[in-house]
Amino acid sequence: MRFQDKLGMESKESLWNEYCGFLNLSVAEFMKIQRRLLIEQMTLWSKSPLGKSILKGKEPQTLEEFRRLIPLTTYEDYAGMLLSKQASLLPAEPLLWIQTTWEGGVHPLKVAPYTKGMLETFQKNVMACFMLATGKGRHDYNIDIADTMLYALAPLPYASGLLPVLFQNEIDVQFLPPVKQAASMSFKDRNILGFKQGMKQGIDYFFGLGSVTYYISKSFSALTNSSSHSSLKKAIVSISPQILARYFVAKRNCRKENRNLIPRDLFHLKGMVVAGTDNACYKKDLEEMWGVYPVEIFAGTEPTLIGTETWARDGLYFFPDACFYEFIPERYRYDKEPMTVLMDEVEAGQTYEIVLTVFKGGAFCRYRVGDMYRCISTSTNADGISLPRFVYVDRVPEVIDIAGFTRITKNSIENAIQLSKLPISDWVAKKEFNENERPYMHMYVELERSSLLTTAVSKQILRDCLTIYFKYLDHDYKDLKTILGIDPLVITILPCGTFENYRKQYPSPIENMNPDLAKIQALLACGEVPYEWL
Amino acid sequence: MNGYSIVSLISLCCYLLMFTTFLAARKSQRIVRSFLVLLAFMILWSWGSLFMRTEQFPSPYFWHQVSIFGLLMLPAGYYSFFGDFVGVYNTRRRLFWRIVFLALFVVNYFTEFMIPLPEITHQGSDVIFQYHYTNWIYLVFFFMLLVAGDIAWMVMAKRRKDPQIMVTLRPLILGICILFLGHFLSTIPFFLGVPMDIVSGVVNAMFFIYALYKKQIFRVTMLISKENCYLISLFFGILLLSNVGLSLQRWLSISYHLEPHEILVIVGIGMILLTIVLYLLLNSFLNNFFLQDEQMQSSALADYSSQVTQLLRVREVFETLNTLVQNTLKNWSVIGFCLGQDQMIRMAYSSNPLDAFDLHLDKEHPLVLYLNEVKTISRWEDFKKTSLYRGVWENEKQIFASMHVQFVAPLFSENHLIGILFFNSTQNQKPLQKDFAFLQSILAVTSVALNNAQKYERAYMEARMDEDTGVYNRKYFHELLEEKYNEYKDSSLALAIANLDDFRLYNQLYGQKEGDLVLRVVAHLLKTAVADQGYVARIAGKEFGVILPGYDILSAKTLMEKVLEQLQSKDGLIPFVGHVTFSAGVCASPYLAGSCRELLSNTEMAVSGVKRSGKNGVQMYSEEIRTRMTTKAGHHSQYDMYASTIYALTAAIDAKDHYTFSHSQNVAYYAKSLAHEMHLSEELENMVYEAGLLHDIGKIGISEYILNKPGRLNSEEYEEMKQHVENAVDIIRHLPAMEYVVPAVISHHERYDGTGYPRRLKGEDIPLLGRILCVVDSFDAMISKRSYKKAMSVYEALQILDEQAGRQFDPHCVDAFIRMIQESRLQIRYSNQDTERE
Repeated sequence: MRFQDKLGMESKESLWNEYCGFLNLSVAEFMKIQRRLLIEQMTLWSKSPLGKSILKGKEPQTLEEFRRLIPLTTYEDYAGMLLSKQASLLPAEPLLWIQTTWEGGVHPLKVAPYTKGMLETFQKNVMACFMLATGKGRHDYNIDIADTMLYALAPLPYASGLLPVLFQNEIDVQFLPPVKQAASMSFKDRNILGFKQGMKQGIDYFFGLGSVTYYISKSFSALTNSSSHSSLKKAIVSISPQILARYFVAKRNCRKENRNLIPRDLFHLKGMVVAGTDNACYKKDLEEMWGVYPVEIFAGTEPTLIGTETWARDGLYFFPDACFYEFIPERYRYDKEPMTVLMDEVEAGQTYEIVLTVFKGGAFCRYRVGDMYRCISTSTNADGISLPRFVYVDRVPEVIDIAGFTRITKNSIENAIQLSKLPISDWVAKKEFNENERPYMHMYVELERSSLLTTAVSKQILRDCLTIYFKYLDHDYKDLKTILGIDPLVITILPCGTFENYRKQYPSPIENMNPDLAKIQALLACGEVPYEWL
Repeated sequence: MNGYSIVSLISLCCYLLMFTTFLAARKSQRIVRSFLVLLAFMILWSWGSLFMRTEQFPSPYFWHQVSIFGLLMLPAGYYSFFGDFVGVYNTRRRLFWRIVFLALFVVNYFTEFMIPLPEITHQGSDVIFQYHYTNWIYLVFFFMLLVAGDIAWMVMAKRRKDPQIMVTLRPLILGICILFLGHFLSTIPFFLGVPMDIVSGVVNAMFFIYALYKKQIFRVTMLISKENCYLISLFFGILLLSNVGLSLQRWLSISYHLEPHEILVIVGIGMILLTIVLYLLLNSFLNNFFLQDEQMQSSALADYSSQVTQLLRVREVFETLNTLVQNTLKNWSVIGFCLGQDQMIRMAYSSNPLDAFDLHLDKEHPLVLYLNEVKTISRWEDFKKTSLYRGVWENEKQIFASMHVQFVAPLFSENHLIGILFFNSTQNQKPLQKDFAFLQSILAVTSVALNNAQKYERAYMEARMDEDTGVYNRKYFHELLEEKYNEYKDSSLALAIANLDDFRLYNQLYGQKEGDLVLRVVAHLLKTAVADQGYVARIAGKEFGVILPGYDILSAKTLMEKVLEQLQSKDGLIPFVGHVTFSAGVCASPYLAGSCRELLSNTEMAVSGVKRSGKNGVQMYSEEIRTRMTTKAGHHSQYDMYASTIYALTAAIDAKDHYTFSHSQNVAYYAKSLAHEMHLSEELENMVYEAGLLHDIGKIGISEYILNKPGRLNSEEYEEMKQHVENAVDIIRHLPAMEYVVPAVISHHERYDGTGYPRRLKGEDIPLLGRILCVVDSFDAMISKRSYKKAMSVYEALQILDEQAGRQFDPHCVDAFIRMIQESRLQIRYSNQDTERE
């Protein structure tokens, strides 16, 4: 039975409990579900050729053996079998293959199989996310048939493309613009059409990557002010009377307050859901523009949909039936076989790298997906939820993710430097945030001393040159400019000998990717004063 | 009495009947109390109206005010009733409406501006009441509409949370509409003189009762008793007669010229008959339209309760329940799960053979946790909505879906979950509330029945199980073998016996605990290998029997070889120390054994064959025979290895019973000679020789007093004496390599006619070597002098042998033995000692 059929038949409390009832679980009950589903997955996975290839003859029977016998894995462990899409090698028959780019990998794409059970769980949990995003408390939600959703998501076969399909399996929500139509449109046209349709029908939900939803929201006033043919003014004749009335009131207010029209002037959202990275940078602005504080969800190609915030928007809770969760404490990340803790062992205030085993016949087992989470509470909160609460920190330090669009690794930077033939002798790259809390990649480079005499290299040249090659190597990087209009690269040229000084002064080497801020400051200090003088 | 009064009277009676019957319902429920209050206002309304129209004491105007009070308080009563019906308990609002309508009544009482006093005119015997309403009457309607609006608001607020509420409210809404219509019509001049408002009130109350019935607030059977039916019939009888009585009297006196006392008798009889007819009609109507289902279910439930508690098998309990459910609720069936000894809840019954019978739920299974939480029957959909359902495996979800489960119910005994019932609809029909209630009512009795059956089955199995290894015991093994032999007489039945090699040594080396573990491992291995295709039993300390119905001898041998291989490799087994092997023999009927006992004995022979040929192997009986027939040097006696032990043992007996030592040697000698005479193989000759030496070794455990008692033994002493056979077998089992003599030793006191001991074997069922021992043992006993008898002559002894041939002895053996002596091919040996008990 679909969600919308239940809407007319069941009480709010009953329906909420069905979808969001996992929030009522105690940690022990949560772990019971986790352990039970792990046994199912362990059986399926261990018997599959994929599992056997990693297990190498071992057969875990218990949770303890599972953690002892199965090594932590990365996509390289699966690439050979998954990229050839051989269903017979997998723990269960996949219904769908979802893909994403594999930055820094040996192939341009990563693919992940989705089984029927995984999709059903995904579907149920998507509904839970929206119920929580539209509710004001326990047992509350505001979802109706024929609601409308503005969305900013990539289509299938990307994971985000699953959302419209699964959502429509549960309820007849109208996507603005319709999914099929949107697939053949440019990003800009899609947004314009979405808003145009929103003017007619209203917009109830807004869902997308945090950065993209922000960009679209920003572009709204431009659309309303523009005199081009594609502007929203052209669609004014077909605007719904309610929105038209809001439009005129808003226009007067905007003149009075000397500001541009913002979406909240016209639309009263029931809920906003954001996914991806760096959402924390955009949430407040989004709330200002839409009048609704976004609920953040946590999903990915390999992990599926694993967690959501609630109506309180004060941290994420993991779904018990999507994956088995293990956490590597930050300090053990670089160990050869790092120890992991389980959901009932995490400590508040600690940062962890997440390790996932996808349930219901998924391919990934003890998989290091590359995300860092901080546990912010393990005690029962004011809403009576006693599950551990997390916030998404970022990607692992070895990867620089800008606004959820691109993932830059040491490998990709080295490739760009190599291809550009720039005389860079040493470098470090760090993700930093500007005064507006927007992310960018800051590269601290040192040029070859010999090249200074023969080559003219300025900050601008370096930036332009590297940007060209980043775009060449990574299509998503290009989209940062075309879709979000941001140029995420900042270059600082360090005096020659800075790295040499650093190495002399500090015994431990500085990491190329995302070193600590203290190390960066030490590096900069080494550039200011020659080491010998100290 | 005019028509108006009659309608009022009928209404009043209806209300009173409802009121009295509902007094019997559970008044602890708020809704029942508020319905009683509502009925009380309706009664005041009708009562006042009736007494006013019949101008009762004190005055029609008093009764008018009573009627108006009832009428005006009704909306407040409705408000409370609706609140309780939908579960909204806002006491302040209720109080508010009561005060409002009470105030209206008080104001009207003193001013009469809304509902004036009626104008009473008398036209002959008729009294006419006329109300001269002004437009202020609509103020009453206005307030009533306000209450209706408030009720609608309350319902709509509730509907947002519980959309299903509207379905249950439908009869109430319809009833209210009819009430409003009746009141509206009563203000229209066309209906002047007809109390449309009172009629609509009665109809309204009927709809309310229907709503309560649908909501399962009461059961019709509890309200409509036989007494009530009779009262209703009587009332309608009086009503009918009071209306037609006068006409009837006139007609009878004019047409038939009857006297008044005759008319009285006829009317009296008519009254009784009419009441009876009405009673029967009413009863039949209620049975057909209201009670049939309930009564049928009640009676079926009663039958079921008495039947099911007597059943002793779990499957029978579930079968009976399934029959009840199928007969009572169309297209429904039951799947039963039962708690096993391993604490797993396993499927024990389903009417659909395609259901997954290997489905089992452990105590941490989400469904088990859920049922332990809710503790009562529940809709499957409700379970699916819980967070616990998230922990259900995908394949389990598929299995459950294929079962079309609608309800799931726990069966508890002393707060422990002992079983689970799935109620499924074969046509996927929607479950009804009454079905739910019926199924709920059968749980308690089913729990008791299941508990009894489980206990019985447990006791039944315990009597048949070997508690150390979890396989069947020796006693049940023989029962099963007999049963399966008869069952598979026309096809094939294989029997395998596996005897652990050097197990005594193993116990000595690694201790009893490890030894027990090995026994459990072997039992588990055999059980796993056989699965549900056969039966495994522990038939002796270190010996397992495997009955394999439908197996041929080769398949049985292969199976046992695989088990042996796995035992040696230890792969996938509970770890145990050391190295363990077994010697297994396999035989099959009907090709290699003509009787159950022959099958057993042949298999034992095959085991002996393996033991003698180096242990650690599996041999078929036919192979063994063939080997023996073709290879003379096949047998390498283990006797030498144990000679000193045997000598020591027999010497020990000698100390107690001086005769035995030489008797054993004589018997061994005669037996070997007879075997030779009968052209048995050298191997068997040696075997029977060794068996002869050991056949009385069990006497070491018999008291000296009995062995040497001069007179006849009493029955108790004889019983003890008979134990020496079993004792001998127990001793020989401690000489692992000599176990091949066991079949001969254990059967040397069996009689050819089946009256011997210990196994009462008969004829050819007695192992041949046992039959040989029996003849020569008796012969030596007869020609020896005993404490209780003199020595017979050889001639006499041979005569007795001849007489008992076919009774005590195998005639072939006797013939051969006599022939041998007569032809002087046997040297007779005489014992010097003179005591032995036989």
